[in-house]
Amino acid sequence: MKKYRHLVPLALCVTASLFAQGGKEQQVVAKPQPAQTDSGKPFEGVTLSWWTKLNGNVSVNYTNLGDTPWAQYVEEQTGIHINFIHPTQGSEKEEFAIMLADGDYPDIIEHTWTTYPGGPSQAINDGVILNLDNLMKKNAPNFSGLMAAHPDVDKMVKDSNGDYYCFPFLRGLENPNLTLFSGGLIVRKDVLDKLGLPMPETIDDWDMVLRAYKANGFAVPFCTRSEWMLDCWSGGFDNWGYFYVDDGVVKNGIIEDSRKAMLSKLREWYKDGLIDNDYLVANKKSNQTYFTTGKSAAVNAPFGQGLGNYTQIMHAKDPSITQEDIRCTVPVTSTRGKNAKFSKMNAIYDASGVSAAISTNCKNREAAAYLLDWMYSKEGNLACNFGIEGKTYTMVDGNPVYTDFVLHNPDGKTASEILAAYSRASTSGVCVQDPRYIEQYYAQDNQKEALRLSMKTDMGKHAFPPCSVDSKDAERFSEIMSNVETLQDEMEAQFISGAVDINTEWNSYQKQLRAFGIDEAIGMMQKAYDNYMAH
Amino acid sequence: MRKTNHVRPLRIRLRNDFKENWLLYLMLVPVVLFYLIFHYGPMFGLSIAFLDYRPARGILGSRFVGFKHFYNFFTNYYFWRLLRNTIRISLWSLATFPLPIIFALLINELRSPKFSKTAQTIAYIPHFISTVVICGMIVELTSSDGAITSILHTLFGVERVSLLTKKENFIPIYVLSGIWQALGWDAIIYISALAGISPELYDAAEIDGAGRWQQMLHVTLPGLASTIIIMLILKVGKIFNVGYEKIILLYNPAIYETADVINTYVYRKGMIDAQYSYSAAVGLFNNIVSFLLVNITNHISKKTSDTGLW
Repeated sequence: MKKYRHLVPLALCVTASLFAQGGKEQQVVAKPQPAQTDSGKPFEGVTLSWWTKLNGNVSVNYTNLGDTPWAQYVEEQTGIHINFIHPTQGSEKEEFAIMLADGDYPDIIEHTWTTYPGGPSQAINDGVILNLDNLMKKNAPNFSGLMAAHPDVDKMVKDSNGDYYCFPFLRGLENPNLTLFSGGLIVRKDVLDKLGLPMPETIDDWDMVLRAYKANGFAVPFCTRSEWMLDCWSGGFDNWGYFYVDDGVVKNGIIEDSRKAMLSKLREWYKDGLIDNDYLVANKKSNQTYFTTGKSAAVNAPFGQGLGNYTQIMHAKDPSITQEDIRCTVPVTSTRGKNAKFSKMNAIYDASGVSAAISTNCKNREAAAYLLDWMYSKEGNLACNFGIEGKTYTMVDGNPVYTDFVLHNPDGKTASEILAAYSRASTSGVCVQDPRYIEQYYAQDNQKEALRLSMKTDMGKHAFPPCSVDSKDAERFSEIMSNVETLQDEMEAQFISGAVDINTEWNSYQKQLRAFGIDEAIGMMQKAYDNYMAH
Repeated sequence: MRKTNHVRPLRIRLRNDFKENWLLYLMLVPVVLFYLIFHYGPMFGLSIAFLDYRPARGILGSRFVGFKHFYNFFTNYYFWRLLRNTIRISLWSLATFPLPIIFALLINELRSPKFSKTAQTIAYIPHFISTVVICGMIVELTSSDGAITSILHTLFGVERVSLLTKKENFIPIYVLSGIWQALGWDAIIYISALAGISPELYDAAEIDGAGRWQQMLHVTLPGLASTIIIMLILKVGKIFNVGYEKIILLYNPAIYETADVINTYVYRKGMIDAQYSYSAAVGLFNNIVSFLLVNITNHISKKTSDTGLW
């Protein structure tokens, strides 16, 4: 017996360390209450918990959103103390599911609620979040005001029963507006000028340009990431490879003849070496290398990481190459001079957009509504988009303008890091993204031009609104679409590479899509759309 | 422990034993808890395969649907392709099973200890490179102007396109890179088993006039037999669990035809489409098949060679 005595501490340690694992998942940082007493703050001293994912640009400098100058400013202005709770980065989805199963909901939950199984209305039925219809009327004057002025946006942020369920992150309020665009077709204009070619607009223009690039020593004239290779060209064929709306009728471009025309053209370009033959394994790194080392002269890339970085890298290497030489084109269109019918455009509020809902556990619902509604007020909008006046922006002729603290930070921090700390619009937080933010965020003139050119699209009229099929149909719909999308990805890649001949196999491919039930799925989406428009 | 002259009732024996060795029992607690919490607890989660699971309603609140998800999977358009690819990739991987053994035997025959240590180290270095990096390297090397493509182009006139966009290339790339990754590491267990064979046996064989080849056949291989069989049984158990992380990092839509396996399908369904119940059902099916395979191999092995896992 005695011989084991020295093992007691060891055994206790091992046992204790096992139990110690439990509490680490959530980080809750408590801070002293702001010591202000102002009559304009009806919920002075209230504390609310707020579940939200921590953006990577915030987490480089702060472990908790509550530590940022933005959060401290909001607490000061509203008098409400916020406990931010963050899921572990990378496992947000799992921890969200665990939180739901737990039933221990924080007061405010910021999440992509449109992806909740069965839609947001199901989250209300499941007793997770509140139907906000009454709170919106009584306690959210700013948000309600905006929605009354923009009825089409108002539709987007309601659930399938026509009820409010959240305070959303919105990319602007007008359709289209500058905040909806983040990437497009970029070309070497200096080479075009030398060859006497105009900026391309239609597919025929592009055909000529790509062939000219090829003839002038660009081994791979066009490259882009695999997921964008089709979408960036389909506008030129009036085709769209997803569900879309044409005068109230829901359609899907993958079963239209224009799709075949596009795939045939891409097959031709692939065979002639005009588009990257490795596009299926291409990524942002390979795109950057190709474009900046003169292997490619055209690329479909984001305006920030793509256009912005490429210009800087190439200018550093060869000072004679400037912003003038690397330019964005208009979205490729089927008719010269006309807007593209389809192009890559984010939605004001879509399936990837986050929104803040108030949970059924919330004790002080009025305070939560007041806090969230503040983000849509004039002061809240400035705080969320531009930060703190005098520090990160100054007012010039009634417009907020970023200071050098943001754009040329003395400590060498990037603009995205500073904006993530002092504002929230750049990290998809609850608020309305201001077009004046994105215009200044893109520092280069060719980036500002790219945003303006991207507006030449009619996508806003055709984009499928953020609504999902009826919960009764949901299972069948996802079964159909998962089969359809797998086959589509697979066949379209093989049509382009030539592994399968599009001329002989197109019809049997179309027959298989119909056998999967693509028409049934379109019918379900039509029903969802009609229901959405009726509210 | 105290000696006992007559057998006392179990309860009393347990009590006495506990009194005497309570510290050892205390040390056992964390291990038992670990298994209960992390290995047995999650098994109850498998019940979601028979439910329409909704996180907010929990396991008890979700609707029971029986074998619906299994039925949906077996009748899925892609079921046979997934099954075929899974088995095909696994069998090819299984076919590489003798290579580490051969490698271990070769290392064992080396006279210079310095050379054999160096060779071994070089062979198991790839094991320590993360899969993500390995796959990045493979994609780079097999791209249209990558090193491997260039070599094949020069030697055999292979077309200059990314090798990973042709469906017939996927299995060779997957299997060959797998050998490169695992050869040295997998050989370690055989090399250590070789070290355990008594030198006296070799001396005796030499006296009996056996050459090096015969020594290997009659001393080394029989000495390795039990290790080989156990490794084989373990490997057969993994047939249905092909290394999907590597596949996800390597595949693309053009080669789904040969590269899409059950596990990658589960990943797309469960993680991307959030169909938890369906992917749990497919995963459960996968594990039951694996479990049966291990049992069958073990049974056969015990019948034929008296060696088995249990």
